Amino acid sequence: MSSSKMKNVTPTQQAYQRLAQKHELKRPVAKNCIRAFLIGGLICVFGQGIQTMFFTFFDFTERTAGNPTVAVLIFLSVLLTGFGVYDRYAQFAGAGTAVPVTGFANSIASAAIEHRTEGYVLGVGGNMFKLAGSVIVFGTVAAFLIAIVKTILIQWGGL
Amino acid sequence: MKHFLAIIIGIMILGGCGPQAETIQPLQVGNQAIVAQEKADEAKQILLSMEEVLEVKGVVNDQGIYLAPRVKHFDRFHLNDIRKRGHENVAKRFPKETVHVSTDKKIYMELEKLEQELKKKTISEKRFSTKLKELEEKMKG
Repeated sequence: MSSSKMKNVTPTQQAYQRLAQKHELKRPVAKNCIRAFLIGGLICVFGQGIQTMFFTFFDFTERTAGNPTVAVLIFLSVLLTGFGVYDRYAQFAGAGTAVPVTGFANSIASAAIEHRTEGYVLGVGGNMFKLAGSVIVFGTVAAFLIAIVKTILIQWGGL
Repeated sequence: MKHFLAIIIGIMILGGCGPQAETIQPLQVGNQAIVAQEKADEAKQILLSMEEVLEVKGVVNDQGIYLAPRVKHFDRFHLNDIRKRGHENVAKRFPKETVHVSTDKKIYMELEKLEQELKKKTISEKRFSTKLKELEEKMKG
Protein backbone atom coordinates (compact mmCIF):
# COMPACT_ATOMS: atom_id res chain seq x y z
CA MET A 1 0.00 0.00 0.00
CA SER A 2 1.29 3.49 -0.80
CA SER A 3 2.46 5.71 2.05
CA SER A 4 -0.12 8.45 1.35
CA LYS A 5 -2.93 6.02 2.04
CA MET A 6 -1.23 4.68 5.15
CA LYS A 7 -1.53 8.08 6.88
CA ASN A 8 -5.30 7.80 7.32
CA VAL A 9 -5.14 4.30 8.76
CA THR A 10 -5.25 3.72 12.51
CA PRO A 11 -2.75 1.29 14.08
CA THR A 12 -5.52 -1.24 14.67
CA GLN A 13 -6.43 -1.12 11.02
CA GLN A 14 -2.77 -1.55 10.10
CA ALA A 15 -2.53 -4.60 12.28
CA TYR A 16 -5.65 -6.00 10.70
CA GLN A 17 -4.30 -5.41 7.21
CA ARG A 18 -1.08 -7.21 8.06
CA LEU A 19 -3.11 -10.13 9.39
CA ALA A 20 -5.31 -10.20 6.31
CA GLN A 21 -2.28 -10.11 4.06
CA LYS A 22 -0.79 -13.08 5.88
CA HIS A 23 -3.88 -15.19 5.22
CA GLU A 24 -4.51 -13.97 1.71
CA LEU A 25 -4.08 -16.63 -1.00
CA LYS A 26 -1.12 -15.97 -3.25
CA ARG A 27 -1.92 -15.58 -6.94
CA PRO A 28 -0.47 -18.62 -8.77
CA VAL A 29 1.28 -16.50 -11.42
CA ALA A 30 3.45 -19.25 -12.88
CA LYS A 31 0.55 -21.69 -13.14
CA ASN A 32 -1.64 -19.05 -14.77
CA CYS A 33 1.09 -18.25 -17.28
CA ILE A 34 1.50 -21.90 -18.25
CA ARG A 35 -2.25 -22.35 -18.63
CA ALA A 36 -2.55 -19.19 -20.72
CA PHE A 37 0.41 -20.28 -22.85
CA LEU A 38 -1.04 -23.72 -23.52
CA ILE A 39 -4.66 -22.76 -24.21
CA GLY A 40 -3.71 -19.61 -26.13
CA GLY A 41 -1.27 -21.72 -28.14
CA LEU A 42 -3.95 -24.30 -28.83
CA ILE A 43 -6.27 -21.58 -30.13
CA CYS A 44 -3.48 -20.36 -32.42
CA VAL A 45 -2.78 -23.91 -33.65
CA PHE A 46 -6.49 -24.27 -34.39
CA GLY A 47 -6.43 -20.95 -36.29
CA GLN A 48 -3.36 -22.06 -38.24
CA GLY A 49 -5.20 -25.26 -39.13
CA ILE A 50 -8.17 -23.28 -40.44
CA GLN A 51 -5.84 -21.08 -42.51
CA THR A 52 -4.06 -24.10 -43.96
CA MET A 53 -7.43 -25.64 -44.81
CA PHE A 54 -8.54 -22.44 -46.55
CA PHE A 55 -5.49 -22.17 -48.79
CA THR A 56 -5.26 -25.91 -49.47
CA PHE A 57 -8.85 -26.66 -50.40
CA PHE A 58 -10.18 -23.26 -51.51
CA ASP A 59 -9.07 -20.59 -53.93
CA PHE A 60 -7.13 -18.51 -51.38
CA THR A 61 -3.43 -17.77 -51.19
CA GLU A 62 -1.61 -17.93 -47.87
CA ARG A 63 -2.01 -14.18 -47.52
CA THR A 64 -5.68 -13.83 -48.47
CA ALA A 65 -6.61 -16.87 -46.34
CA GLY A 66 -6.06 -14.71 -43.25
CA ASN A 67 -9.34 -12.84 -43.54
CA PRO A 68 -11.73 -15.83 -43.63
CA THR A 69 -9.68 -17.45 -40.85
CA VAL A 70 -10.26 -14.49 -38.54
CA ALA A 71 -13.93 -14.48 -39.52
CA VAL A 72 -14.31 -18.17 -38.63
CA LEU A 73 -12.54 -17.73 -35.29
CA ILE A 74 -14.72 -14.72 -34.39
CA PHE A 75 -17.88 -16.56 -35.42
CA LEU A 76 -16.97 -19.62 -33.34
CA SER A 77 -16.09 -17.61 -30.25
CA VAL A 78 -19.31 -15.56 -30.49
CA LEU A 79 -21.26 -18.81 -30.79
CA LEU A 80 -19.47 -20.32 -27.78
CA THR A 81 -20.04 -17.11 -25.81
CA GLY A 82 -23.75 -17.30 -26.59
CA PHE A 83 -23.92 -20.88 -25.36
CA GLY A 84 -22.02 -19.92 -22.21
CA VAL A 85 -19.14 -22.30 -22.92
CA TYR A 86 -16.44 -19.72 -23.61
CA ASP A 87 -16.64 -18.33 -20.05
CA ARG A 88 -15.62 -21.70 -18.63
CA TYR A 89 -12.56 -21.92 -20.84
CA ALA A 90 -11.73 -18.31 -19.95
CA GLN A 91 -11.97 -19.17 -16.24
CA PHE A 92 -9.36 -21.84 -16.75
CA ALA A 93 -7.05 -20.17 -19.26
CA GLY A 94 -7.26 -16.47 -18.37
CA ALA A 95 -5.18 -14.39 -20.77
CA GLY A 96 -4.85 -17.39 -23.10
CA THR A 97 -8.43 -16.86 -24.22
CA ALA A 98 -8.39 -13.05 -23.93
CA VAL A 99 -5.36 -12.20 -26.06
CA PRO A 100 -6.24 -13.92 -29.39
CA VAL A 101 -8.95 -12.45 -31.57
CA THR A 102 -11.45 -14.80 -29.92
CA GLY A 103 -11.18 -12.78 -26.70
CA PHE A 104 -12.04 -9.61 -28.56
CA ALA A 105 -15.13 -11.24 -30.05
CA ASN A 106 -16.06 -12.60 -26.63
CA SER A 107 -15.86 -9.14 -25.03
CA ILE A 108 -18.24 -7.69 -27.63
CA ALA A 109 -20.70 -10.58 -27.61
CA SER A 110 -20.85 -10.95 -23.83
CA ALA A 111 -21.46 -7.21 -23.35
CA ALA A 112 -24.22 -7.31 -25.98
CA ILE A 113 -25.90 -10.27 -24.28
CA GLU A 114 -25.59 -8.74 -20.83
CA HIS A 115 -27.24 -5.43 -21.77
CA ARG A 116 -30.00 -6.83 -23.98
CA THR A 117 -32.66 -6.11 -21.37
CA GLU A 118 -31.96 -2.37 -21.64
CA GLY A 119 -33.13 -2.29 -25.25
CA TYR A 120 -31.43 -2.73 -28.57
CA VAL A 121 -30.27 0.86 -29.13
CA LEU A 122 -29.23 2.11 -25.71
CA GLY A 123 -28.60 -1.32 -24.24
CA VAL A 124 -26.92 -3.47 -26.87
CA GLY A 125 -25.73 -0.65 -29.14
CA GLY A 126 -24.47 1.54 -26.32
CA ASN A 127 -22.72 -1.10 -24.27
CA MET A 128 -21.42 -3.47 -26.92
CA PHE A 129 -18.08 -1.67 -27.26
CA LYS A 130 -17.63 -0.78 -23.59
CA LEU A 131 -14.85 -3.33 -23.21
CA ALA A 132 -13.80 -3.67 -26.82
CA GLY A 133 -13.72 0.09 -27.35
CA SER A 134 -10.50 0.50 -25.38
CA VAL A 135 -8.89 -2.26 -27.48
CA ILE A 136 -9.84 -0.46 -30.68
CA VAL A 137 -8.68 2.94 -29.40
CA PHE A 138 -5.31 1.75 -28.10
CA GLY A 139 -4.81 -0.54 -31.06
CA THR A 140 -5.35 2.31 -33.49
CA VAL A 141 -3.20 4.73 -31.51
CA ALA A 142 -0.39 2.19 -31.17
CA ALA A 143 -0.53 1.40 -34.89
CA PHE A 144 -0.39 5.12 -35.66
CA LEU A 145 2.62 5.71 -33.42
CA ILE A 146 4.51 2.72 -34.78
CA ALA A 147 3.77 3.83 -38.34
CA ILE A 148 5.24 7.24 -37.51
CA VAL A 149 8.37 5.64 -36.04
CA LYS A 150 8.72 3.41 -39.10
CA THR A 151 8.26 6.33 -41.48
CA ILE A 152 10.87 8.37 -39.64
CA LEU A 153 13.33 5.46 -39.63
CA ILE A 154 12.85 4.80 -43.34
CA GLN A 155 12.80 8.43 -44.50
CA TRP A 156 15.64 9.80 -42.38
CA GLY A 157 17.31 6.79 -40.89
CA GLY A 158 17.87 5.20 -44.29
CA LEU A 159 16.67 1.74 -43.17
CA MET B 1 -3.60 -31.78 -13.91
CA LYS B 2 0.10 -31.57 -13.09
CA HIS B 3 0.81 -34.84 -14.90
CA PHE B 4 -1.14 -33.59 -17.88
CA LEU B 5 0.94 -30.39 -18.06
CA ALA B 6 4.19 -32.30 -17.62
CA ILE B 7 3.30 -34.65 -20.46
CA ILE B 8 2.36 -31.81 -22.81
CA ILE B 9 5.53 -29.84 -22.05
CA GLY B 10 7.59 -33.01 -22.50
CA ILE B 11 6.04 -33.65 -25.91
CA MET B 12 6.68 -30.05 -26.93
CA ILE B 13 10.35 -30.18 -25.93
CA LEU B 14 10.89 -33.51 -27.68
CA GLY B 15 8.97 -32.38 -30.76
CA GLY B 16 11.00 -29.18 -31.00
CA CYS B 17 14.31 -31.05 -31.08
CA GLY B 18 13.57 -33.07 -34.20
CA PRO B 19 16.09 -33.15 -37.05
CA GLN B 20 16.09 -30.28 -39.52
CA ALA B 21 14.72 -31.10 -42.95
CA GLU B 22 17.41 -31.83 -45.53
CA THR B 23 17.60 -30.10 -48.88
CA ILE B 24 15.93 -32.04 -51.64
CA GLN B 25 16.93 -31.98 -55.27
CA PRO B 26 14.36 -30.14 -57.39
CA LEU B 27 12.39 -31.97 -60.04
CA GLN B 28 14.19 -31.66 -63.38
CA VAL B 29 11.43 -31.50 -65.97
CA GLY B 30 13.84 -30.89 -68.87
CA ASN B 31 12.93 -30.14 -72.49
CA GLN B 32 10.72 -33.18 -72.98
CA ALA B 33 7.68 -31.36 -71.58
CA ILE B 34 5.07 -29.52 -73.68
CA VAL B 35 6.86 -26.25 -72.92
CA ALA B 36 10.63 -26.67 -72.54
CA GLN B 37 11.59 -26.28 -68.89
CA GLU B 38 15.38 -26.06 -69.05
CA LYS B 39 15.45 -22.45 -67.90
CA ALA B 40 13.19 -23.27 -64.96
CA ASP B 41 15.45 -26.18 -64.01
CA GLU B 42 18.48 -23.91 -64.01
CA ALA B 43 16.67 -21.17 -62.08
CA LYS B 44 15.63 -23.75 -59.49
CA GLN B 45 19.27 -24.71 -58.96
CA ILE B 46 20.19 -21.03 -58.53
CA LEU B 47 17.51 -20.56 -55.84
CA LEU B 48 18.41 -23.80 -54.15
CA SER B 49 22.00 -22.65 -53.79
CA MET B 50 20.72 -20.04 -51.34
CA GLU B 51 21.30 -21.10 -47.76
CA GLU B 52 17.75 -20.44 -46.57
CA VAL B 53 15.98 -22.41 -49.28
CA LEU B 54 15.02 -26.05 -48.70
CA GLU B 55 13.07 -26.88 -51.86
CA VAL B 56 12.06 -25.07 -55.02
CA LYS B 57 9.20 -25.53 -57.42
CA GLY B 58 9.14 -23.61 -60.67
CA VAL B 59 8.01 -23.52 -64.26
CA VAL B 60 8.73 -21.33 -67.26
CA ASN B 61 6.81 -20.19 -70.30
CA ASP B 62 7.13 -17.29 -72.76
CA GLN B 63 5.68 -14.88 -70.15
CA GLY B 64 8.45 -15.49 -67.64
CA ILE B 65 9.91 -17.74 -64.98
CA TYR B 66 7.70 -18.60 -62.00
CA LEU B 67 9.46 -19.80 -58.86
CA ALA B 68 8.31 -20.74 -55.37
CA PRO B 69 10.99 -21.62 -52.80
CA ARG B 70 10.21 -23.33 -49.51
CA VAL B 71 12.16 -21.49 -46.85
CA LYS B 72 13.69 -22.86 -43.63
CA HIS B 73 11.38 -22.25 -40.72
CA PHE B 74 13.51 -19.77 -38.79
CA ASP B 75 14.42 -17.85 -41.94
CA ARG B 76 10.74 -17.14 -42.58
CA PHE B 77 11.31 -13.93 -40.59
CA HIS B 78 13.24 -12.57 -43.60
CA LEU B 79 10.88 -13.69 -46.37
CA ASN B 80 10.93 -10.25 -48.01
CA ASP B 81 14.71 -10.19 -48.22
CA ILE B 82 14.89 -13.81 -49.43
CA ARG B 83 12.38 -13.10 -52.23
CA LYS B 84 14.34 -10.04 -53.25
CA ARG B 85 17.73 -11.75 -53.30
CA GLY B 86 16.33 -14.81 -55.07
CA HIS B 87 14.76 -12.59 -57.70
CA GLU B 88 18.04 -10.72 -58.20
CA ASN B 89 20.07 -13.93 -58.53
CA VAL B 90 17.76 -15.43 -61.14
CA ALA B 91 17.30 -12.15 -63.00
CA LYS B 92 21.09 -11.82 -63.26
CA ARG B 93 21.30 -15.20 -64.99
CA PHE B 94 18.26 -14.57 -67.26
CA PRO B 95 18.23 -10.83 -67.90
CA LYS B 96 15.73 -11.09 -70.76
CA GLU B 97 13.10 -13.03 -68.82
CA THR B 98 10.54 -11.71 -66.37
CA VAL B 99 11.15 -13.49 -63.07
CA HIS B 100 8.42 -14.07 -60.49
CA VAL B 101 9.43 -15.32 -57.04
CA SER B 102 6.81 -16.05 -54.40
CA THR B 103 7.15 -17.65 -50.99
CA ASP B 104 3.41 -18.21 -50.67
CA LYS B 105 2.57 -21.83 -49.82
CA LYS B 106 -0.42 -21.81 -52.15
CA ILE B 107 1.76 -20.79 -55.10
CA TYR B 108 4.22 -23.51 -54.10
CA MET B 109 1.44 -26.12 -54.15
CA GLU B 110 0.10 -24.94 -57.50
CA LEU B 111 3.55 -24.91 -59.10
CA GLU B 112 4.20 -28.40 -57.77
CA LYS B 113 0.99 -29.59 -59.45
CA LEU B 114 1.95 -27.85 -62.70
CA GLU B 115 5.43 -29.44 -62.63
CA GLN B 116 3.92 -32.89 -62.24
CA GLU B 117 1.42 -32.27 -65.02
CA LEU B 118 4.18 -31.04 -67.32
CA LYS B 119 6.31 -34.07 -66.54
CA LYS B 120 3.43 -36.46 -67.20
CA LYS B 121 2.26 -34.39 -70.20
CA THR B 122 -1.31 -34.23 -68.96
CA ILE B 123 -1.69 -30.48 -69.56
CA SER B 124 -2.25 -28.60 -72.80
CA GLU B 125 -0.17 -25.57 -73.71
CA LYS B 126 -3.22 -23.31 -73.60
CA ARG B 127 -4.33 -24.46 -70.17
CA PHE B 128 -0.74 -24.13 -68.94
CA SER B 129 -0.55 -20.48 -69.96
CA THR B 130 -3.99 -19.60 -68.51
CA LYS B 131 -3.01 -21.34 -65.27
CA LEU B 132 0.19 -19.31 -65.12
CA LYS B 133 -1.75 -16.08 -65.73
CA GLU B 134 -3.99 -16.93 -62.78
CA LEU B 135 -0.93 -17.66 -60.64
CA GLU B 136 0.63 -14.34 -61.59
CA GLU B 137 -2.53 -12.54 -60.43
CA LYS B 138 -2.37 -14.41 -57.13
CA MET B 139 1.29 -13.56 -56.66
CA LYS B 140 0.44 -9.87 -57.01
CA GLY B 141 -2.69 -9.96 -54.85
